[in-house]
Amino acid sequence: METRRWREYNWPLLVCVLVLLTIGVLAVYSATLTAVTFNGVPLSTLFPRQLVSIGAGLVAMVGATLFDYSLLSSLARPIYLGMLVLLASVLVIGRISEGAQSWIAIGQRTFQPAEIGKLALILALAAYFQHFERARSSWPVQLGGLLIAVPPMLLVLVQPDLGTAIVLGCIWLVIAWGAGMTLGQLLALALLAGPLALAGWRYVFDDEQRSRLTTFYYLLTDPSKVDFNDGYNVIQALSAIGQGGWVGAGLTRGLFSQGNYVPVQHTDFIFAVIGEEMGFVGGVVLITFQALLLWQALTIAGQARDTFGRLIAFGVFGMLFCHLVVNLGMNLSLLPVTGLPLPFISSGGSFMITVLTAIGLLQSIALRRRRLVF
Amino acid sequence: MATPTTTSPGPRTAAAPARVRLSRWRINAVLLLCLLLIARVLLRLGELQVVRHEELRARAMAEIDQQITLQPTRGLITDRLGNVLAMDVDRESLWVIPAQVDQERAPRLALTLSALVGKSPQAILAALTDTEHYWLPVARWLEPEVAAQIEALDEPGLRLQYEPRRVYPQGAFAAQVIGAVNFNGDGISGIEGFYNAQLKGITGTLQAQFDGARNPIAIAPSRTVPPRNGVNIQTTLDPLIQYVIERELKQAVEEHNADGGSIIVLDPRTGAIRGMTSWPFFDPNRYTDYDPEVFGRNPAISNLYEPGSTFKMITVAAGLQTRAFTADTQVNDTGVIFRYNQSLSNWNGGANGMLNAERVLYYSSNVGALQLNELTGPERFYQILRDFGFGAPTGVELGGEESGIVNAWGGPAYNDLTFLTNAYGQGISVTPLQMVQAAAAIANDGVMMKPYIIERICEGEHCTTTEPVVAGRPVEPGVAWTIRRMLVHSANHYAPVVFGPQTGNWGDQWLVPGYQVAAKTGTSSIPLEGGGYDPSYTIGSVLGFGPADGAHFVVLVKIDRPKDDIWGVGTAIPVFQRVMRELLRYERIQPDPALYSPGQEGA
Repeated sequence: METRRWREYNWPLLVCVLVLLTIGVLAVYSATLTAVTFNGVPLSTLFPRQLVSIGAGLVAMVGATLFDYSLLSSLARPIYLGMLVLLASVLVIGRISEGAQSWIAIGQRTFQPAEIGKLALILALAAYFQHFERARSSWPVQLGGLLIAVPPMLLVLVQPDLGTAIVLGCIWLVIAWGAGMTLGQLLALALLAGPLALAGWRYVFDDEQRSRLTTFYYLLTDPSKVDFNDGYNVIQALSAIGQGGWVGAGLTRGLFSQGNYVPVQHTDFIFAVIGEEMGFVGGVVLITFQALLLWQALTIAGQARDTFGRLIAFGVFGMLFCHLVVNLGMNLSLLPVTGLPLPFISSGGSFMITVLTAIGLLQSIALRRRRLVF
Repeated sequence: MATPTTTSPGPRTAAAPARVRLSRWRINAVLLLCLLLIARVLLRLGELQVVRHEELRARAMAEIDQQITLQPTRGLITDRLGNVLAMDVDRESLWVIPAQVDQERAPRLALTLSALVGKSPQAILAALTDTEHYWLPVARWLEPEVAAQIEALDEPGLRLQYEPRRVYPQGAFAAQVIGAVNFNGDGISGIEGFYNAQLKGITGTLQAQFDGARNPIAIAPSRTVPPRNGVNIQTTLDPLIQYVIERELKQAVEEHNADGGSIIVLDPRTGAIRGMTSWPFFDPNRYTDYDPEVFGRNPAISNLYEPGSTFKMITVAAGLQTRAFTADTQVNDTGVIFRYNQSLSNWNGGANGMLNAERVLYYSSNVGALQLNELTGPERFYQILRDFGFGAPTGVELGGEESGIVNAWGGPAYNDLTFLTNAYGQGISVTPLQMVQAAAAIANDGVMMKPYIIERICEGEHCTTTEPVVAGRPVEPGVAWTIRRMLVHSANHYAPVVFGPQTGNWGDQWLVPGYQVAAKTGTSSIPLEGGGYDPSYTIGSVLGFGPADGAHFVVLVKIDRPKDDIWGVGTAIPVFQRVMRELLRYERIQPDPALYSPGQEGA
């Protein structure tokens, strides 16, 4: 591509990604330095694997940047159907790990089809709403969008993976909103949410999820009622973060982080490590760059040359935003525990590659925002 | 890729407003929501890290900074060769935190645990479901394999806690000497009790920062006091000697249906106790199965008895030492004698005529002994008794030692008649160890060594070895020598009890062929609580040493109430003979070919 095109490249977005990846590498290094799993297996082997995942993710990001996203428009339908097949097959041949059947093994490696599901749903919804652009705000078209989102949500819910289901729902909501959901439809959705939540509590959630919600309720209302085991993660994360103070204990110096007090501190609770070792300053830097990144995603959505690109950008925003809020909310006891990793930071290959690919898509949209002659 | 050249529109004109039908407010609404939520997160972050920093930090540090007690290891007890008699083994105990147990699965868990720890499922279920308590014991001191299996269950609420267990690898061996340790880890008898504080050691404390799995990660050395492990105690007990006396005691007690008994072996040259045992035996590993009288008491130092005729050697020693009579002084044994309106008689009431001290011992003449004592007089007699250590504990390093009862001259309970009966060991009570100590003085040329049972106490590498202590010199070497000659004749007088049935020779002969052995028998009447003596049963004992000159061993054999032997001597003599024979052979003392009587060569 000629140099003039690179002026369209969203450099602030790249800076955000690189800053966040740097924080993430440091945090994962520190979080896995001395930690062990429940079974006593050291986590230190995860750090080199994390570096490999980041490398693979960056390659995927560059690839997606160079690739013309609009070509995906016609592929959206087979990608969506393939994703449903994968999600269904994971229930049959998947590996059970940490209580959920979410992984598929390929040789020595495993990956989570649900991660691909997030991107596939973004593409499918973007292509769908582009196709029905003229009637985008009509009830049938909006309901159609919901019908596209529901099957993958149900498939991940039965794994059970409530977190991913929430992310998929969030992606749908943001894309539908970006496509033209009316305030009336939003209101109807809000009215439906109550009965749906009740039904979910009764029929969909398992005991584990219910206890997380009650734990959260008690944490907010009467912490003395929190069952020690149920609230353990949350309480320990709070202690670790509060311990950090203004500037934190310093990398690899956090007593809680290095003492293995916070379970799964390398993935879902990595913000506890950052909070303890990098302090308030580190936390603010992290959140600021996440916010800048989200802002850039919306900027790209605003500049996209077509609806497909714009809605992809909305979808990527929805995915990242959902992860960020749910994860930080959980670490800070603002929200119930839902196992979602922190984008660019948490250890974990599938999600890292997914997120960086999504960033590549954003850049692809940014690069091609002008209607140029090819 | 096409190259935009002349056809390329300008940057601004390229954006076709008609195509981007996005209302700006939709993006702004999302952005606003995003900013609001992020602001909420930042606010919360500030609250936790800045406002509530001190509170949360204190909470975290309370979890990290902890002081734990470091338990010292209880010391070993070994015999003189270093064989372990008592030791701590690493064990884990199972505790439960009922609040953490999955109550629905508790019944199944109780069944599983029941099979592993061998307790009833009902009892375990009661502990698992007792949510009133935070922390309950389920089973103590699990075998390592069982603990590993429980660990593998990986059930919430179960905790394995390190708890060393006291183990006596040789069971009942030397149990009265070693003693036992109760469930709190405190010694309650024997050496375990006497040296409890030293064996236990001193607990230490560890002030450290702990990780989530309760392992110390950063130790503050200035505030850490390491535990001082308990001392290791090496006893003077000889494993073979102890084995021999236990075997012989058990056999004699069972054969004669006796109530109890004691055997003590002591080295008169140093006072070291080489063997000490009493019946009934007990296994300190499961001491609670026994009566407290059995596991809490060492009869060899705690049981008082009237020594009977064995005491006559002291009577003779008192007279010879004080020059009240000589070895040639004769008294007339009339069989029965009247003193203070009492008739005092020999065991069979038979008269032996004119006797010197040697013959008084030989015939075990009560009437002779009391007349010799009249020559000595109470003042000098009781002085010598005191010199021999009677009426006071020997000071051996064992708990519960008795002093005995001596109604000495000048004391409130002194009685002229008792003074006479004391001559043949009645009306005086002693402990078995006191008798051994006194005989050891005669065996060791009048130098009485203080009995001891602790060879060495080691605290880590630093060891303190017991130095033999002279407890007194009750008699001169010449007097001791004279009495030893008398006691050899006395011993030989009882040899037919052993050899008569084998060889048909019922005359005096060497008690232990090849050696000169000194010994005196005694039949102790057993005082009854209401006064008088037990008419049916007695205590038979033999007190002696070998070789008669330069003795290595003093041996006391005491058999309580043998049911088939009214005099007790017939029971005790063969035991004494076998024990002494084995000890002398074990000690590799060369037998003298001249010291075999006819018919004994093959015996």
